[in-house]
Amino acid sequence: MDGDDVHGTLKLVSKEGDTFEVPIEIAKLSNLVVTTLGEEDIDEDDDDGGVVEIPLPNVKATVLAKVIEYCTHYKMVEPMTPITLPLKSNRISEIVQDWYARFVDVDQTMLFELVTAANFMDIKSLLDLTCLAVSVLIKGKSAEEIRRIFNIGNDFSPDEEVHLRENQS
Amino acid sequence: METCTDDVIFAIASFLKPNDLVNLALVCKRFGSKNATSKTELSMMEESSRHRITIATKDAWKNNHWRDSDLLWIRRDERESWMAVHHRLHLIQTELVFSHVIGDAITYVDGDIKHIQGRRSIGGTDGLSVAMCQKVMESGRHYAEFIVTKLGGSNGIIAGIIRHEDAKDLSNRKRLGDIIHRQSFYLESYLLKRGDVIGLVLDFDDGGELTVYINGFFPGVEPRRGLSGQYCWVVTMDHGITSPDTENRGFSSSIRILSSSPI
Repeated sequence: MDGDDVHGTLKLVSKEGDTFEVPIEIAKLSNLVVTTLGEEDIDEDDDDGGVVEIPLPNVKATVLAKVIEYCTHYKMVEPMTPITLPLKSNRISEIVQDWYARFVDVDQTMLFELVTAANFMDIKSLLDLTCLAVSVLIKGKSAEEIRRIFNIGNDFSPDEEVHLRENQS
Repeated sequence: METCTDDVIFAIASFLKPNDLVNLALVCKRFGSKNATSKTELSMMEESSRHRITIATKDAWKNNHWRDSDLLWIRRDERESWMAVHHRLHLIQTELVFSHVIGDAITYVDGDIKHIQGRRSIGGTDGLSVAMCQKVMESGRHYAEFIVTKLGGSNGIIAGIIRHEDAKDLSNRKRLGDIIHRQSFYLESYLLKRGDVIGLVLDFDDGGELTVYINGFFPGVEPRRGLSGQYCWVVTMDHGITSPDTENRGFSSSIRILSSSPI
């Protein structure tokens, strides 16, 4: 298959084995897809008619559906405004377009699954957006509050914690 | 969050302000303790701050050609954390500060980049020393207020503006002195006392006029008129003739930024 064939489709296969047929032009927002297409050597006579299948063993079907929704909107409707530092606002809707702000208005479990998927599939703009959304959850919170929100255990001894607070103040 | 890779944690941290990085460092050892396996042996949050400083420094050099010695705020005392330097970077991005100190006769007070003091040096310097703010103004109306926190050992305080382009021409600091005197106000020491507030108003909407106030009152100094182009606030101190004798060494007046229009 020609890696530059933007008119064809490919299949993304989720962790559970669910298959999503996606236009190549849209799927190429993922650098993992771009790399895989570049390496793929398709047999013209294979049973699947030359449609590339890319397994994504780290990505659940529900998450993959959201990722494809993101890529489709980005490619077919409107690219996301690049997120630049320093941030011009503390509100996501004032940094990117409303659609993208609503896209990451999801529960925490889904948000972290999207972060992981964006990282694995190497979709930079989606990784930026989801990491920005996580950072908004952290902003203004104490260490105790962050531990509680993200269910992280405190492995510092009381002495270590005091020492670290003194060094960082 | 514990399941995220280090790359993802760095990506999240890149959107956080210094205070939030400090809190994240205090969450668990993975984020806050020194990492013996990394090249720098810094904690993840320290590494994140160091990375931000590195990028900001490269940008400052690339875009404005500042010399390392003029960007005192990025200098890190070996006892201070990278997050402390990051805090200064954050201030520069959000508040009016003395972002550039040019010459060796002015320095920050206790590392506070909103607070400068004059310093006599043996044998003088190769030109005028100035402290300049980062805000570039070219239209609209702007103000800045500076409070005199100490007065002494200098003949006067000079406050005003400098063309952005002229400030970057660091090769001729003697010429810089001439330029500053044309677009600034020389406030002799007898006019001022500790606690006085020097206010500057730059109004491009009114024909490009720069006016000075002391404690809200017009001191009878003629405004500078016909100003156009890009300007930055600048402050310096007149030490008179510098002398190699030890009596004249040490710190003179000091000034802190009190308030300003948004940067």
